[in-house]
Amino acid sequence: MEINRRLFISGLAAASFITLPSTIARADNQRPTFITTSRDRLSGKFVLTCIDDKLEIAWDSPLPGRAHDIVVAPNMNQGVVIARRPGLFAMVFDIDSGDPITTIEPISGRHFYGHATFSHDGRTLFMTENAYDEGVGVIGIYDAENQYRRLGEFKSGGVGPHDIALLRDGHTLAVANGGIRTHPDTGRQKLNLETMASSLAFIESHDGRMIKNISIPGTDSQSLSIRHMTVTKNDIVVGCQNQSPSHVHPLMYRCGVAKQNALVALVMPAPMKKQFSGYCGSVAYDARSNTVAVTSPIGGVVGLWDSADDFAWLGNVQLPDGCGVDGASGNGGFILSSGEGDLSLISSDGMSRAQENYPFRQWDNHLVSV
Amino acid sequence: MNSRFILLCIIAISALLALPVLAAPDYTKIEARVQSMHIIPNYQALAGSTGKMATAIQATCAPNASIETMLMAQGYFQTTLDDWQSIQHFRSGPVALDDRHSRLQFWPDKRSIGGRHLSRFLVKGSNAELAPEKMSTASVALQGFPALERLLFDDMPIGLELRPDEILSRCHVAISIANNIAMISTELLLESQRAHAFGTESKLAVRAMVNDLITGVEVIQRLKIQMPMGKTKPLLKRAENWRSARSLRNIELNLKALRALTLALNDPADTTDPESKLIYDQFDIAIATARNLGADMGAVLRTKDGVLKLRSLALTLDDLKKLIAIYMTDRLSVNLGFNSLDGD
Repeated sequence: MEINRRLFISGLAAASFITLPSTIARADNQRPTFITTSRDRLSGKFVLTCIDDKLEIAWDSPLPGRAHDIVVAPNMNQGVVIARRPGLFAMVFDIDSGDPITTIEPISGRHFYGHATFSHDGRTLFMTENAYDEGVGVIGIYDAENQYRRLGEFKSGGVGPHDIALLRDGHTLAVANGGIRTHPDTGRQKLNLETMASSLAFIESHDGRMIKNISIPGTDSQSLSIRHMTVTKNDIVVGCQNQSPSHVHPLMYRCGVAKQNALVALVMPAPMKKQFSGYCGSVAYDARSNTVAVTSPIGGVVGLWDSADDFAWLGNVQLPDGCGVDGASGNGGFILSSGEGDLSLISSDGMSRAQENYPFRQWDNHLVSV
Repeated sequence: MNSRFILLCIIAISALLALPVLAAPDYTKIEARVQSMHIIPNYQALAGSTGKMATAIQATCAPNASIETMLMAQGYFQTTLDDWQSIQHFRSGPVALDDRHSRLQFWPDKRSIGGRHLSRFLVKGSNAELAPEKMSTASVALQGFPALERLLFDDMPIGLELRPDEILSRCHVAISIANNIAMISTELLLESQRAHAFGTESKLAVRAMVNDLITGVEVIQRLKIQMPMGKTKPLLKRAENWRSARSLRNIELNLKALRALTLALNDPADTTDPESKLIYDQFDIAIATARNLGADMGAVLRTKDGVLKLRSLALTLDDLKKLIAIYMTDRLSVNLGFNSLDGD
């Protein structure tokens, strides 16, 4: 690739943390398109970044450390970027500039797990957290209209809650309990692999009441950790990480949101199952084409399923170290990102529409369409 | 069938072959070896030359400073840049602290932030801001080699005499910057001499070193060569150190230093390993190509086939990068992947 302006901006930003304002302002009045985080290979620092529909960087904003997911408030004015587990910050930022607005810190005895979701009215933020001394997962509740004051918490229904989503009914929370216990004293070390139990919990957001808590069927599924999810028209689709070296077990499951009865495995060709290497990184849905996309950075591959055709396997896109994915607005399809600096817009059938490479950026696990 | 095609075939075939299971590398030993063979000697050289450069620039402030004094200061700048370019590729370890890398060299600087900050400083600064503790917290674009290069090569002579509208003499600003560079270099030397200077376990330190090695090659390829080549026409002022006409000399020194780092990461006693030899040979081709092009990239870009020659060098570096990515990561059992290595 020839050097270009985008590459230069990337390089410049790496060297600009002291002399430039905390963010590089947008040059126009367009709304941001995608927001993600990355590690700058030149400086080693972590950055929150807005990318426009031309895959150019619209703004950068320094982060206090490595982050994980980003959620955008329904009114589209604010976003929250949550620290990677064991996370100790969640930075609220201005969507148009990246400027920090406030920072949420976990209360004593809790740390963040990297994911959150807003209530549909935008007044409440729900975050997955670890009550690490008790070894249980909780959902922290924050008042978005009052400086994100912590209002309380309720149990997540398992250990190691990771991704969280609010269903279209506006009051049911779906929580991916990964099942793996960790403690800040031992970093990211997994403490209970022998006994881990993952689940998908449906929780009433108003009072924390457990509606249903379902597990992956099968006697040999104990090593599967449900981590990420997306909500399609009628289903929740979850992606797992297999804690055992076996690569034969299905990694993707769906569950109807109406009945919330059971998790059903999605079909994936055997060679692809092997390439996924027991690891799903991100899960996303494109409503225009009813397509679900799942990334595996270890396998360097993105799988595609048709949710309108009983989740039939559509095919794959190869993307080394690819992890970030979300449905692209406008013409639909997906945006993908990789730890090797790639950004790619693809259509729902996997055809490339546009791509760009930022060689000094390592795009992190997740990105979101705004 | 050209040599590049053959090399790419070797890379591809080798990558497909099952690689033998090797014993886990002794990371403590490797870290210590890189530290003693490569990092400390290079920071030692830098600390020494920056001190001498500061002294030489001091002389330019003498009331009777001659043009020879100025040329001598330029000469010391060139020597010091040689030493910086020989350790510039390290972005982890002590240089990652306190923004030292950017403070030594804020580059690339497409928006000419360094020029604007320097002009403003000369017009609105004060003598108090020349004190070491003030300069070390000033704009990074003002603190290091690029600002000093502007003073020494753009605006000769830099003597005591004030220019219209300016309230600081250029030689005093140059002395302050040179002292700041010397101070940072001394800090780097002292901190690099400590055991486990990278402040982390040895395997992670070695992984950071391999990352710096590959990033170093990529910086040369993309920022130092392809950026000044431009997309449609050469952009001479995008070359590193174009004012002192040494852009290609930098690249030659960078490559020699990266080769030395590779040697230190491998076992230097083992000269028979065929994969290492492939890497060293590729380094040697790139070094010879850079040397044969001369010192100044601007001069090359002004020739008819200059862009082609530089493109050829960039391709050589692309192959080199692939060789390092395949063999060094495997040999040292370090994975440079980001999400695949450490996802969630």
